[in-house]
Amino acid sequence: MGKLGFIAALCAVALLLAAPALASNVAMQPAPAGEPARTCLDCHHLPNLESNEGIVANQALCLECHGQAACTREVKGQKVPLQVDLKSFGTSRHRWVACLSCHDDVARSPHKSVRGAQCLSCHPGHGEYPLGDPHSSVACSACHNKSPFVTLDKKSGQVKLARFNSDKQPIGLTDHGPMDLDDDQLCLRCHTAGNQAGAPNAVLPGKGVICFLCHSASFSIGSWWFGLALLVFLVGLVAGGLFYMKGSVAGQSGSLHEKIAAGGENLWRATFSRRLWETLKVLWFDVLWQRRLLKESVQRWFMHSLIYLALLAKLGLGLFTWLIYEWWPASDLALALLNKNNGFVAVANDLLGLLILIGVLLAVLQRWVVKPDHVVAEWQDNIALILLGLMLLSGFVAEAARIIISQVPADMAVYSFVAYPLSRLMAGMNIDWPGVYAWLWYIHGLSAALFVAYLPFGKMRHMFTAPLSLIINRKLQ
Amino acid sequence: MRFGTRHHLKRLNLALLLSLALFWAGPGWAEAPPAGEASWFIDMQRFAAGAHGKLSCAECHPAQEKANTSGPLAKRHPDAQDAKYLTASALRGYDYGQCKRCHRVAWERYNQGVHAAALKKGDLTKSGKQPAPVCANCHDPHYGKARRDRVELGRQQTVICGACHPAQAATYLEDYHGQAGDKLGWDQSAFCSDCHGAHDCRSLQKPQQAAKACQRCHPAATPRFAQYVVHPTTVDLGPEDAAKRQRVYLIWALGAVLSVFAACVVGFLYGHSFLWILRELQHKLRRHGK
Amino acid sequence: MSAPSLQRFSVLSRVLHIVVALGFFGLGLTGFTLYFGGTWWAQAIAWCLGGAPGLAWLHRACAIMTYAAVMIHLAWLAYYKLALKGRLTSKDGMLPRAQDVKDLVRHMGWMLGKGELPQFRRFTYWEKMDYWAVVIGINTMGLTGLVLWFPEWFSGFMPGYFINLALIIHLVEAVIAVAIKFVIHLVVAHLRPQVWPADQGIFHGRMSHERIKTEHPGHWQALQEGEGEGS
Repeated sequence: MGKLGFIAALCAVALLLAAPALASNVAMQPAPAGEPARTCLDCHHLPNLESNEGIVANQALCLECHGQAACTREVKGQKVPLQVDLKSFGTSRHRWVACLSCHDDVARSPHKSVRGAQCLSCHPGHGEYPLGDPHSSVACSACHNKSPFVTLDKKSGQVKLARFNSDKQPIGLTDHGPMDLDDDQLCLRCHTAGNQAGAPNAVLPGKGVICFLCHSASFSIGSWWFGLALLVFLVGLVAGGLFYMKGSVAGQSGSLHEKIAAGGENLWRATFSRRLWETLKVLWFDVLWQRRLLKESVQRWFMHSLIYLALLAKLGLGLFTWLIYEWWPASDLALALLNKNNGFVAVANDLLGLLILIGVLLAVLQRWVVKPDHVVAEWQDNIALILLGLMLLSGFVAEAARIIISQVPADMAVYSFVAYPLSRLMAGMNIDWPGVYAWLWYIHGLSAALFVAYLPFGKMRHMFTAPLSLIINRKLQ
Repeated sequence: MRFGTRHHLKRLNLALLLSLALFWAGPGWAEAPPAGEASWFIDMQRFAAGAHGKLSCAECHPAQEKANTSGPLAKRHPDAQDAKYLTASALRGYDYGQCKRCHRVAWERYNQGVHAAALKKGDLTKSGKQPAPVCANCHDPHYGKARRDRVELGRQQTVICGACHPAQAATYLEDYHGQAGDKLGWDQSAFCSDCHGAHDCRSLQKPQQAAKACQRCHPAATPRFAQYVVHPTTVDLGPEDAAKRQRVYLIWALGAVLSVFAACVVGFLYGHSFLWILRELQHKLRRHGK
Repeated sequence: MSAPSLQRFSVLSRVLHIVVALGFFGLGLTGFTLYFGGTWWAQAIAWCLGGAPGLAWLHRACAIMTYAAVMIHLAWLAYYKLALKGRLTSKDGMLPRAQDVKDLVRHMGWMLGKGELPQFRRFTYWEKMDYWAVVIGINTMGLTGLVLWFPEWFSGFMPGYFINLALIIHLVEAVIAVAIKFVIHLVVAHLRPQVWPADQGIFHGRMSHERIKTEHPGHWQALQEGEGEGS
């Protein structure tokens, strides 16, 4: 053991003090005369990467070759440098990490990596903001490496670092200093016209809080017009609340302050009494399952539930994804839920979207074609329906365009059972989808923003007022 | 009494829903398995616990040991100057004659089998990628355990043989033999080597040969009995397997037709019941409302 | 049973129903545990029931029990027809009639809000469907199951790959049977709002006059006119 420790200590000293000297320290030669020969286990002993000794030993072993300028690999007749630049590595954040902690499948024969560096074993992936879920198919190094050349690997559908630059010259990719990510130009590696990464031509905003309506998103504004929509929505809610407060609350008709106090008192008493049970029952039967509507008509319940329950499910899935990501960002479940190409996520999104769309179509038919006596088609309804329909249609078309642009492999894309056939249809059209994608995205985003902003004003207000009045009415009985 | 029944049924409902959710395993695709065991490093703790744990390095790697103590190391060992040595597979470059010293019967049977024949011809398997396996492709020389039981060995066969024959492994697991043996751990079921033979690995294309394999457990088996298709897949079928190909197509066709039929019947009945419940709920609500 | 009621199921029918229900539950449990043997829940069940050999034994025991029940029923029908000179083809019998298709169409129209409930007679179309699903299903399952039980004997006169075909039929039919019996039959016969939480008729064998009037009005009318069959 003494011998091993001695070698490790030697290596550590060499690394610390004389990093450039390592390059000239010719490895894998028989020990010089006078020193004992290496035994098998000097090198072939499995290092304990949890210990500092093991980390140093492991780095020394790899650097025996990768510290030398002569360390190259031949790709297409050209020599690609595989040398680790000890100068930059010496100042890198990864200085005290064992090579094998990240490159966990290279120390084998034949000497090659299948999986590449495992960044996610230490670093959690990005959530929905500011990157957005399509980036789950982008390798970390595509953005975090200094080399600006990226390409789409069609086999795996992953965006990776290119091995050759635009002049077809091989690139050494062993730079271990991370990229400066404050640079706005970074996104333009991919998001430009004619890019090789399967990305749209424009940089689009990340999902803001209003996107939770249907998607997993983040509690951020997203972009200024998302923020504006949110503001209008909140102002509308407050205005509605104030309007409601104009009447008498719980017998109080004095100042606003008194009304709020009286209402709060009522709420407190209701919560800590048997009436809470009543309220929960109302929430369960009348709000969630729409018992009153079913009593009216099976058809109306069916149509309403297609829209309402599917929207509720999308909201639930989005919030669940956010919750899982916040609690266990590195878990497989979080990664799977954030990935739009994941089978479950794709099926759920397409199915729920389709249900909402069918519900909207039925409502449109009812209002504009069948026109039964009891249905009064008001323009307020029509705006909400048009916005909802536009949001869903543009959503499906944008999803199909995304499948075309990022060239999702067919066996993965089929789980998007609506958007994938649509994408095959659209791929036949002679349209520059990477260029058009931004427009589709903006139509979808804007119609969603308008829909959310309109919620407190139009008839869709009932999604807040109806549950409230149901609960209050039940209380008054 | 009545209250009791009601509660019971509610719980039953929940169990039904749960079991439906569990039946649906959910879509997904397998990820590439992690790199094989041809690591540069030896975990001494696992090595000592393995079947070869009492051997020294030199007993199986005499050439390396010799080269290391005399003569230039680079001749026998990966060398930074020689890139080809690093890209070559140590697993395939090893002199497996060393194994014969202790495992003579296995060595001879291997040499009579299809894997050795393919290796001699130098041809690759039909995938065009993987060369025919040598000892260490299936047996872990450093960590392999001794005296494992039948089920453990059998389960490992599904994984190891399945690495190169995935379609066969998948169909085996769908077959009764795989369900009872591999999945539920019944030691009297048949595992890969029980039919195909250990080390010689016959493909059992000829009915007589297949019947002999069946007869090990089913004494009354005839060549006609052996027409049973354990692996309903067309992967790796050659032009000489036209009869099996047709049977596989027949099996698939029947499965497809019946699945569509089942989907239609069950789909119609579920829609019918759902609508019925909605309508009855409405009637009930209206009655209560009055 | 203080309310006036009518005999609907004989003691034999009721006993056989319980036997078939239990046997079928056992068959489904053991069969699907084998099929989903790789999942944790199936391994837990298999462990409780004695692993693969235990499952196989129980599956066959349940199969014999269930099949015997159906055979006893068919034997009773033969006795009823031949020895007791009973009628099997009346309007109140179990044989499917053209009226059942009309009832189905009208019933679905009623669900969609058009028209009135059909005048169901003694056995409605869904009850007949349930009955014939068992009679036909148990025979397909039994026959294909026998092929899987004695493959050597069957391959004496049929090609070996017919075992594969039997396996597929056995599997798909099992999925249909479980989807219908464990979900549709339970829901329609017991859990649907009108009969919630359970229809105990199949256990005590009687149906109140009140229910006959509302749910089998055609039968009630026939009884009033003296042409319906009571038991």
